[in-house]
Amino acid sequence: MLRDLQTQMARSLLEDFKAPPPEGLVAGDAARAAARFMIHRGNVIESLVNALGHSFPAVKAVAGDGNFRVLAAAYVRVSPPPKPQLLSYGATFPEFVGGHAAAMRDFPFLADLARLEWAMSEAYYADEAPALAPETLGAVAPERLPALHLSLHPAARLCVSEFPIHAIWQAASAGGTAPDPALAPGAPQGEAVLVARPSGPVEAWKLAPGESAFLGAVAAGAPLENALAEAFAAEAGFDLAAALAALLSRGVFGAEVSFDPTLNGGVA
Amino acid sequence: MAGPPVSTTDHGTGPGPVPARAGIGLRHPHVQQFLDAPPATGWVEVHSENYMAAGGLRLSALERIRRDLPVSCHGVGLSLGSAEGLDDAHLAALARLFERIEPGLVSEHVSWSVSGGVYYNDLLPLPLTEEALGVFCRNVDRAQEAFGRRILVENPSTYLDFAASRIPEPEFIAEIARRTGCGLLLDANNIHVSAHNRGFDAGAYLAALPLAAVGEIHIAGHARRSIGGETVLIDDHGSRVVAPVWRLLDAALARTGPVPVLVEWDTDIPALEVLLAEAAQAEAAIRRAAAPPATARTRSAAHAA
Repeated sequence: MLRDLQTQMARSLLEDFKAPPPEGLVAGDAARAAARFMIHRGNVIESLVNALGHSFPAVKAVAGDGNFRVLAAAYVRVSPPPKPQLLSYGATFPEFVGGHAAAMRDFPFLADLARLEWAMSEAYYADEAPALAPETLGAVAPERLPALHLSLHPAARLCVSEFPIHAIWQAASAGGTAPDPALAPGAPQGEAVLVARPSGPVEAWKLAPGESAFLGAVAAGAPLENALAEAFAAEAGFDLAAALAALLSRGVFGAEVSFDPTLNGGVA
Repeated sequence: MAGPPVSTTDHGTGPGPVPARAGIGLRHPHVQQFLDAPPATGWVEVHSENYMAAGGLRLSALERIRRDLPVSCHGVGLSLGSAEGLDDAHLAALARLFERIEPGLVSEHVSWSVSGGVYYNDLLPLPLTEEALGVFCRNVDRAQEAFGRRILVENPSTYLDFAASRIPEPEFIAEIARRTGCGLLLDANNIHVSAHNRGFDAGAYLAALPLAAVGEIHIAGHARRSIGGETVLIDDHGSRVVAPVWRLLDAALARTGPVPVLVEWDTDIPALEVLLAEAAQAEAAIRRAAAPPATARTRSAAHAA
């Protein structure tokens, strides 16, 4: 049956390169058939490893080409694509990297770096949608501001790490080489990164602790009053007007706003 | 001297039928050049799956380019040869893309890539059996119904045979076209590669294909790799078209008359000028095919549908 043949062949494609080919293939003799089947095994693994390298260039730069290929091939074998769109392949790669003891021992920040790069991939392909206009915000009556619900634009992502992940990403992206090892171990300063595409290309900015806490709360669905409290708790000198201006210019919020009916100012 | 039945403008006229001219694959490194000024190509082909996104720069670039040039959507992920049938979500996503892009041609492969819901990202060979033929035709019927249009299917590049195979490959493909009404995307490089690897005569294979159903021709380069002490041709679309493939193109065009011809180049992508030079050579081949018989002149319209 065709279904059995395809099941068997598919399983064999992900096996080790030394494994024998599935039965029923002909190319002269058995050795030749095995060698020909290896072309397909190579195509599958290589093309998917390359797709991951395309989505995670900084992880590849940090780990080095050889290490990355080993890591990515191991991932392909346990998590082959569930969809025929390579754009969406690699969603669970950061988690896989985080569970890879050797990679994380050498580069403890590697899973977070992969998370940041996946956020950038998602941002690249996210839905087109208008961003919140400053005028919309300006038109909100001051007494209603505490109950204001902002939403995130479909292309906006927040990545928070205990490592200086923005600096690591910049270094890896710029030089194509591993960042200063001094950045990795020890107790480095954590960083939060905002990913968005205000004018087309995806960009990534390092956020101050107050901005990060504020945006994290907004993303979690908190009204402005609560988001502001989170921001001040994280950074006493948080400047709401400056933060909002910066975030608005980066197209971080969706165009629609709403109000929390249970809070003061929620009912017009 | 009779004028060729092809457009003499530098570029096409936006969404609509793909003309019987040479086209090139739209590849990421060249997109900005396309946006700056449409290059002298009759049309472009894209891999459908690369544009199945909700939004973003890549899709918006294609939406701009399609205002100037007809587009062909060439799929690599539908897996028409899968015994388990087609993926509903993928079919629906393709249908949405076609609604948005309005391609002049839609094509896929005589192969399979999906088993157990996993996508293997390779065009895998089918055993040429009655059962596989039935599976393939059912899937083509379903795709044509979902898209509300005729599709083209491409003859495969292969390295292997199956002990179970009973039907000669060109006959298998002809039967698909006959049963489903789909067209043929004739890939001249695939014929050359497969003929070398599996030891058959490329000319005889070409002649046995359903040439009246050809709606598009692909040409491409391939790699030569030494495997187990012999040279195997690998269909990598990473170099210039070789002489025997140009000859196959001429032989095909002599029988089909002018049809759209695509220069495919997917790995080691060169400067746009290199692709355009290959396309100019293909364009000359189309004009040669158009020149003698007056009856050939209406074919482009017939195939554009």
